[in-house]
Amino acid sequence: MTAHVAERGEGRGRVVLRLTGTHVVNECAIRAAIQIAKAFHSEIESLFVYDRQIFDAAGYSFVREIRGSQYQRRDVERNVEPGTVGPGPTGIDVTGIARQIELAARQMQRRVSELALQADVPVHGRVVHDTPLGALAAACQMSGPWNVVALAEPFTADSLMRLDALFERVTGMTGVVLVGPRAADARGPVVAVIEETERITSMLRTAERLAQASGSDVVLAVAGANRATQTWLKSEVIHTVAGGHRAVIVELGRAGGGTAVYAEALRQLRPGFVIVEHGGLVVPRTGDLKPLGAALSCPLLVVR
Amino acid sequence: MIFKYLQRDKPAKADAKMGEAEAPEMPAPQAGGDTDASTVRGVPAPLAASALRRTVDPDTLGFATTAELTAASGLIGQDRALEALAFGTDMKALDFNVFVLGPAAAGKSTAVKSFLEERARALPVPDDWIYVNNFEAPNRPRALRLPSGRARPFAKAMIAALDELSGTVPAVFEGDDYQTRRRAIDEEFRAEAEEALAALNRKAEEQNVAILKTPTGFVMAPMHDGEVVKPETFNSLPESYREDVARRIEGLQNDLQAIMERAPRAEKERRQRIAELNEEVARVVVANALDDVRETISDLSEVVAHLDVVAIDLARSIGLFVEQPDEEDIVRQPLDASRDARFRRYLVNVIVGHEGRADGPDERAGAVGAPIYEELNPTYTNVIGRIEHLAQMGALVTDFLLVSAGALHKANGGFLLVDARKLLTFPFAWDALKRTLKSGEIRIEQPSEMFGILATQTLEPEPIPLDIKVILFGDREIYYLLAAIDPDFTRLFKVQADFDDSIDRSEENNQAFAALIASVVATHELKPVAASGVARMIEEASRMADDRDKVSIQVGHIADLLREADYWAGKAERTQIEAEDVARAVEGRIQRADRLRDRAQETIQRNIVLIDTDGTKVGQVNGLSVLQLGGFSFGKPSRISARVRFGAGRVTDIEREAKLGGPVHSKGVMILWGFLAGRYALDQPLALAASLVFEQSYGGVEGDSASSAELYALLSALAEVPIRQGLAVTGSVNQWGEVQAIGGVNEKVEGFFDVCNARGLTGDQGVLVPAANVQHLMLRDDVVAAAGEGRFAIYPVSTIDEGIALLTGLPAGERGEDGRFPDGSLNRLVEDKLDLFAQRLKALPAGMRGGIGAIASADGSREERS
Repeated sequence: MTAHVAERGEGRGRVVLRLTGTHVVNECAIRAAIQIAKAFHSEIESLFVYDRQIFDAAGYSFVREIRGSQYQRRDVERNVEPGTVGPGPTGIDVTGIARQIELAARQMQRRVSELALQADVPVHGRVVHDTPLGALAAACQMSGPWNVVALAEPFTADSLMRLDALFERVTGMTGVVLVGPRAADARGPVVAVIEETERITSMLRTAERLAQASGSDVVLAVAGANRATQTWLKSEVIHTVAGGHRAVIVELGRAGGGTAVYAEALRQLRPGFVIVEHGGLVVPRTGDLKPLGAALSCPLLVVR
Repeated sequence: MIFKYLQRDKPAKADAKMGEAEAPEMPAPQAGGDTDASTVRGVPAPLAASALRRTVDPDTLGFATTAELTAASGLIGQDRALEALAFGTDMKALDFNVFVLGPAAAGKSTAVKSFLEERARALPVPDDWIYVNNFEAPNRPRALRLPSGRARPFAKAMIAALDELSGTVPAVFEGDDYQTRRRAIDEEFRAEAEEALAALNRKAEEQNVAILKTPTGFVMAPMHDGEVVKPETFNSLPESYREDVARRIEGLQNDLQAIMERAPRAEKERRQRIAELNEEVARVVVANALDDVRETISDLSEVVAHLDVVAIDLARSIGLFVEQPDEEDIVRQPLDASRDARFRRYLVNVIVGHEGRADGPDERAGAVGAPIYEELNPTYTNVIGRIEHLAQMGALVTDFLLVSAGALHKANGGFLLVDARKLLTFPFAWDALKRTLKSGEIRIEQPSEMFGILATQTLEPEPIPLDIKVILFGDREIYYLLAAIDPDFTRLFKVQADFDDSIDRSEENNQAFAALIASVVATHELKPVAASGVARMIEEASRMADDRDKVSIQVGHIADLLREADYWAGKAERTQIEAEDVARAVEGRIQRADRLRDRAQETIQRNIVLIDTDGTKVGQVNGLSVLQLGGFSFGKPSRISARVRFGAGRVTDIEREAKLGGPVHSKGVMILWGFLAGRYALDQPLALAASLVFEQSYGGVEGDSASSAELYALLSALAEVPIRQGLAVTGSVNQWGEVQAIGGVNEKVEGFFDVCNARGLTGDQGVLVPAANVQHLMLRDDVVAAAGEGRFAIYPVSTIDEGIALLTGLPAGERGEDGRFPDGSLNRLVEDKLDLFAQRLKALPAGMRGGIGAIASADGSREERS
């Protein structure tokens, strides 16, 4: 599928930046969302999600909050001893959590607005009470199908599983922007990973639009399941680029290498943005994103 | 007293008394320049023209121009000072410093520098000194000594090493080798945590339990179809099922708790491992970068030790070199180690650095020997050094790089030249210099710290040992003042080098002076001076010395005159400086400065100031005074008059009564009373009341050079014998009537000459000068010419008797064997008048004698009772 975002005013999509207030936000993700919106003359919907499931969980007396930073427990119900079975009259410290999420929401919305204003990209903020996935599905269904979703929190080892669920549940989107735990404001070319001949033109066009917005170069990295495929794919890419495009064409590592090999090969290209298809060699449906997270310091646009 | 009386006042051979209006006969000029006041009928003869100015014959100099001469060092005739300097500079002790005494503009500084250069050349070039950061106590910078010429290369090498690190460190830390190892550590720990969480997630999902992230942690809840089951729904389920779910969740929560509790420990361990990795990599990089520096200082143990500390600190702080690029930078800027504040602690502050290369940029480039440093602005900080501060966020901060050298650092190991007057003028500077010389080390402290004025971050730089010879310059007044009031001064400045301001005129010294002129010509790149010009310069130098037998060696003044002469020679399109150019320079100098002299002369010519230059007057004489205005002085005649009457025996000095007379002038007038009483009233009361005044004098009068003139006026008034107004008088007098030398004789003679010349010289005009001053005469050419033509005369006078005879035409007369002055002599007339006054006094009733004072007081004077 083509990675595309509807232009502003078109009413058929935008960049949906999901913020949850429960994870540490990487500003790189916000900048990536803005870069895409700018490249496609689109706009941003900053969607802040109150995860209603947390408030549902608060209704269980046997649930407590396990806090990472201070090794403290926040008992779900202060009057009930931990481990006691049965629902309590009050849930988790909902007020405290709600307050923290609200403060985080305000701060993030303000920061998104500042960065979008600097880039001259319109931004609209919205707050919803839903599950994180459900909120995205609803938002993209409401106005689609030419949406790109940007997740503000860095992906983790089990994100691939969630990514698969995301592509499955959120139908009104063409791609997802992810950032890894090492993401920083990387500067470098926009690298589009070409794994199928059908996607050469669309990937090239997307890469060109992003590169134009950031003033960087385009690199087409060819990845084939085997040597012959990769060679053939490369010749096709060369043929396509010969028609008036400017792009550097490289082979992405050893043909048929695993995700770790591709991740390392991408790192060596020092990219500023990577565009890759979902369910391919670099971002498969199963496995994990750990090698990519460790290797890349730039955002990743995973195209449906 | 009696002996003196008989010696001085023996009876004179009788001379015919001249009538009041009768002009005295002019004596014939003395032959040659003989100053022996031989007299014609008791009157001294005028001096010959040759005695009025000692000239130099250019032909006797033995050269055509100074181009043929070897330039002198500027130290002619200063043997005593040179010996003192040599002694002072040879004494290896901090308390044997030298004070160079001498008049201003005498070329002391140039001469001393010239002398010291040779000595300094023979001394070793002193060591270099640097300040470096003290990593243990940053507010106490360390001072390190390096052999001469090695400080600057070391400082540059450190900057080069830091520059190298700024390039290599990012490369190494971004390189595959480091990144792979770093990622391996990150992944090792992240994977452990993430995998544990992922496994827990999978386990939870299998048990239909959702793990949800909260802002500060995690919560779990029963799940169905990927979503949390609402409590109401859950509560409707069978109790056994609910208990089972709760138990499972509790178990999962415990597992999660364990994972979370491990996380901080793992993170700490991860950081430790990364720090170890960083240090390991950094040590290698730093060692490589410092290798070149280390090679250059391997023989200097203290510096090597410092470098070791730097290496350790660099390895620990290697993150400084991995700079995050500025978003605004279009092109990533390379680090500038020498300017980047983060690297300051590794830099080197060269306090004293000798280049030791002929092409070096330093002022000591190519220096051989010890430094000679002259501090022209000896403020406290310029002498001792300073600790500068930078304003940061409203606070003043400093570090070892902001320590600046003072003159003591720059001259350490050599010679420091300072003007004493300037040094004493600046607050704290003198005390600081003394303190440093006493302690033998240069300790930089801010004056504000000493007084607790400024409370801000500051430093205590390690003191630097002092090995110096301080040469102070000043005039004699300052030397003796310091010696009198500051006990430290004589302890620390044990050697005085006293510079003469003049030398004797002799054949040999004329040659030396010519060599001095040659050196001035060379220094100022002037035209060569012809022999005639040198001869004229010698004459002018004699005039500067106010002594025909001396030559001034005040190089500053001589150089000024010569440069002006060079200007006039250029105007005249001459290739060398001739006597005319020197004369023109002198004339030009006078012309530029003599506006007031012109005005004074004009007031006399227009009879606003009354000065007679012909005829005779009783009780009136022309005195002479000198006015000093800036660098120019000129003579001016003043009318002095005396009135006498019967009174209580006192000479009233009207100048003193009006508080216009200075103490020396008043002393001179009091001596007159001593003379009168001693000569004329030994055995009877001096029943005289006299008043003396400088007519039309509206400013102060000081000095006793007019005391002989005052006495002449007084004697004239007592004897009622007129004085020739064509003559002017200068000279002081003692109680025995001897005329004594005075200063400014040339200006005084010329001052009266100018007045007479303007009115037309009659041939009867002249000046009476003390015979002792004949040796000082270096009169202007026009005065000499007029004297040579007999139109103006200079009379050397040794005694009052000679002077009064010349002024009145009457012989003074000496006491005869009968104890009386001869009839018709001036002394006899005076004595008779005083006898008359004494008789009147005796004739008064005893009760009234005491009232003479009261009578006298009635006319305004304050006479004492006799």
